[in-house]
Amino acid sequence: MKGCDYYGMNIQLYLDKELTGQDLEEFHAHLEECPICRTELEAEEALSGLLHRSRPLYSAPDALRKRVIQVAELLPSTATAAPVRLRERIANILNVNRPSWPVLVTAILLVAVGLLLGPGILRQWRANGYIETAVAAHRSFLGGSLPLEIQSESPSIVTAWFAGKVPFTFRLPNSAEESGYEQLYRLAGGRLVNYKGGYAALIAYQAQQQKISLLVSSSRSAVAAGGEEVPSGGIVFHYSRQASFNIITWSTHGLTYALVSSLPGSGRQSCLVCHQSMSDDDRFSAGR
Amino acid sequence: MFPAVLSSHPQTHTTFNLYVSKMETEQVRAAIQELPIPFREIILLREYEELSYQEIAGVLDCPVGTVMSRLGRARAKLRELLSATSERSDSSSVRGSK
Repeated sequence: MKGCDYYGMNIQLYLDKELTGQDLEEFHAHLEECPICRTELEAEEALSGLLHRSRPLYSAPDALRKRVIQVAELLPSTATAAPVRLRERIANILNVNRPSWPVLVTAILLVAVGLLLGPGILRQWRANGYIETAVAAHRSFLGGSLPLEIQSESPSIVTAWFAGKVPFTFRLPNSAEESGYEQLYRLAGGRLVNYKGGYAALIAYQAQQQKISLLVSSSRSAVAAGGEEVPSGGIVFHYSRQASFNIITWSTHGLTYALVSSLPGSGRQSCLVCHQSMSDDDRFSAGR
Repeated sequence: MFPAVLSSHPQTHTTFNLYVSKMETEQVRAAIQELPIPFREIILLREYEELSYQEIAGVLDCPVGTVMSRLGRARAKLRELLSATSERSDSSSVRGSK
């Protein structure tokens, strides 16, 4: 039969709620008939109650506790109630990553630079995405995997075909036909292409045995930025080169255009291939 | 085991009771600070942080059996310190009353 020595050890486990099952039942049964153990339990409960009453009234949230531990680690000379070894162990258990000062300073600088440059970077990133889409569409068009859905040399017919098919008011850029000069390129037609979960318009032109494509989308989903910038006629044209293609992007009247071609010369020079005899020749050559 | 001041929790929030409660808290915390570090940390983890034996074993990187035995010794030591504190407190109040 188990005596008071055995159950005396269980008093602590009972108070700490570590006693369960059969052991707990036996302990209860013993308490019923043992005044000595009951007295000892009361004394232990008094001590436990005393300790609980001396606890801080409020517990800090976990996140705050972690921050306090971090600060305590950074300021080892600060007098604290908890032993250093205990704090170290708690920190280990919490798996607190303590960044060094150089890392912190670098992180802060990166955040600051990011805040300053963030909008510009984001804009450039969106512009690059649009250019990549335009180049990919042009490649597919050249390769024959994106055949034209409307074939016409008439701007009005092509414009009418896109009405209601794209989530914006489609508009071809002002071109040579409005100037009355001889056209060095001609409209070939267009088709829809997927862009950002919707549709963009892909326009095809033919110039000097070369195929030129023009991706048209709403300025809400596409931006023109970066590259060599040349303002002309109230519009800023962005010239860039990707692989063997010259790309010109610009935004006007709520639409963003990306013209992709393999015409010779730099991006700006490629414009002159089509516009050399036009009235806007001066505007393009002025920037050279 | 403990004097009335230490063992009874004030039920009414009179100024006196609040003062007694504050004194009690200060004495307990002072006693905990007097404990050797291994005892102090295990008391803090169990009584203040309310960690289970298993969790304490994880924090202190020791077996659960060690947690049990060390906790028992820590409480015994704490009880001893508190008794000594209350005795000092009693004798000083007796001297003060003379």
